[in-house]
Amino acid sequence: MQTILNFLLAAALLLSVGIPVSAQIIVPDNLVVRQMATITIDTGKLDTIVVTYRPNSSIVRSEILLPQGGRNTFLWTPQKVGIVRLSSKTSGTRNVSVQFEKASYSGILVMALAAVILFGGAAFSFKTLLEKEEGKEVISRKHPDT
Amino acid sequence: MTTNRGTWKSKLGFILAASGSAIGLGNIVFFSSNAYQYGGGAFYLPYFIALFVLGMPLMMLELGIGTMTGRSFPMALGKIAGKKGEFVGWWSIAGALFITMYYITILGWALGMMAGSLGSLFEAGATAPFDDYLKPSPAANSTVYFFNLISGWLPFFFIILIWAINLLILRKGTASIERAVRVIVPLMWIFMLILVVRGITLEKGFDGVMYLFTPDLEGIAQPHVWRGAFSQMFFSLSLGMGIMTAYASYLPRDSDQANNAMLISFLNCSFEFIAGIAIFSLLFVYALNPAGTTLSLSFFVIPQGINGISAVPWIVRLFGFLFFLLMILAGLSSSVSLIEGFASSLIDKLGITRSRALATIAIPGITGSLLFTLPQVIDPSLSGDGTLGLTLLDITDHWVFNYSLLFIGFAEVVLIGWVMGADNLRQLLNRHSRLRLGPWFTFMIRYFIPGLLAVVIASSLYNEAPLYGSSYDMPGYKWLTVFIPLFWLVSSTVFALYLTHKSTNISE
Repeated sequence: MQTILNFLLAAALLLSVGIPVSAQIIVPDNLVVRQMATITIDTGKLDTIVVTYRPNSSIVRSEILLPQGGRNTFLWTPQKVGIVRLSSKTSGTRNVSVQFEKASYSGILVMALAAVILFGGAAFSFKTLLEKEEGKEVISRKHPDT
Repeated sequence: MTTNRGTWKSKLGFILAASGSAIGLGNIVFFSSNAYQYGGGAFYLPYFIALFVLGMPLMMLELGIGTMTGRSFPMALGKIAGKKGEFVGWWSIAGALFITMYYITILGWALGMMAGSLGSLFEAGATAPFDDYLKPSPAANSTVYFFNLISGWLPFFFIILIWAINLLILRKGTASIERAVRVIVPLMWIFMLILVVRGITLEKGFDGVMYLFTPDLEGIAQPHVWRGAFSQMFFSLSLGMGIMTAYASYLPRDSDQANNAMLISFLNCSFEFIAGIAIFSLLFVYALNPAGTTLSLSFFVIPQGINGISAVPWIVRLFGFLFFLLMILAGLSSSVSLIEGFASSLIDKLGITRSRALATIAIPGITGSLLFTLPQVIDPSLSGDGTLGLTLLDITDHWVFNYSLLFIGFAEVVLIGWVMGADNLRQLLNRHSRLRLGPWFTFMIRYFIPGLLAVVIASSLYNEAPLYGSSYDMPGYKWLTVFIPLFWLVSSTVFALYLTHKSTNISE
């Protein structure tokens, strides 16, 4: 639970940004990091595409794609994995997910370490709790108050 | 007059209740939102540091003073630091009451959305009385559905129902709380694990998990990433509301509170860990941008993801139902503890019966919860929050949640560290603890945590201008942006002064 900052921002984003059905930016089904992909815009006007990696985060990074050969076709090699926002003036905005090209060893390492610390810590504390509880009587707390 | 305050029947019952209290709505989505914003796996570094240097020591402190004094938060602080301490305790209870009010409103909305999962939530054609939502939506749209829900009177019914469930669980104190959490807490874990399994078995679902854990180190040196981690830990563990002290006061004096604090903290963070897996797999598969925070993620973004979880409508409905049921269960175990913190304080101070204490809380509590769902549309363009209730909730949440808990956290470490003496608390904890707390604990309580919280509070206040909510286009209601923080400050202070100086009906 915490502040509802950006409450409506999210609503607006979902309505106008994150719904692929209404987008006119056409991307391949599978986008993979560091592998070139072709993006098209289905409007007559020449336009550019602004690519925003990890949008609405504190570590946003952007790049601009220019049309190729006088048509609204763009060649894009995603630099980073994850959620990416593609936006153009004429065709609106669309979110896409860029996949890993191979297993992320650093991700597996962080996940394993975090799991060991959290679940290991919980198991250790739980064992201590149960050991202490064995043969122990819970004493009712009846006492005069202040 | 003496009081039999009751005890937990088992330590497991206490652990379930305390961890259930800590695990709330925020754990399901707030962690994921922060992890996304601050660099995925890289966020785990400040997160773990915050767990060990802020979360666990403060949890030990709050549990320790509960068992040491056998009293609820205000009376415990009163025993340690006199009237000043008691005032701080009552001030925190006032803040907790505000939070309880709107927390239960949110649970009422979740109940409405849960009912909607079986109705038309995942169907096209939703409308709501706002400029952009007047035409029927061409596809299922949970945002429109939500705004339609809160601009009607139906949530009144859901909110009263949630209050009734809370009071039912609390009617016999620890005995009935323990019975409830023995069902609620395991169910929460089971439902979350079901969501995890479904999430990672979606095509590209595991990529989403790797996206969560793969560190993006670009932001790690930025101060606000660390501030985000410390705030997340403080709020996530339900510190600064007197809950843990009240729950611990029902334990025997020889309880190992260092171990209990570790167990509750680890369970809370483990739940966040698996919740992150479930949420990130959905976000990644459906390319959803987790902008905004708890409410927007819970009511807009995640349902949007669930809508794509299967082509079979009943499966979508089932997962929607399960998700909102999970929210309600997680919220109930927290709201029960919030109310119990207040009830035990009234019982300790005034010597009144539990039923009378609960009635004393329920009357203003239900009124407040209903105010937070007033359906009048005051901002049809949705430049702000749309309805009067949501606007009240948003601005109140901003002030109470962001500042009350941190102020209380700061005041309690100063009182314990400098008035009672952190070393005295350390010795008391060590008397029954298998793990010995070293001098580092004293250092943390006396210097590090007060300094850290002071920095977080100061930086939050520094970033406050312009006044929160002043950019909302709500003609005739602009005054709310000034009135709400003033009302919170004045009413909390008057409430705390009144109860601090009210004579107790219980003899020593």
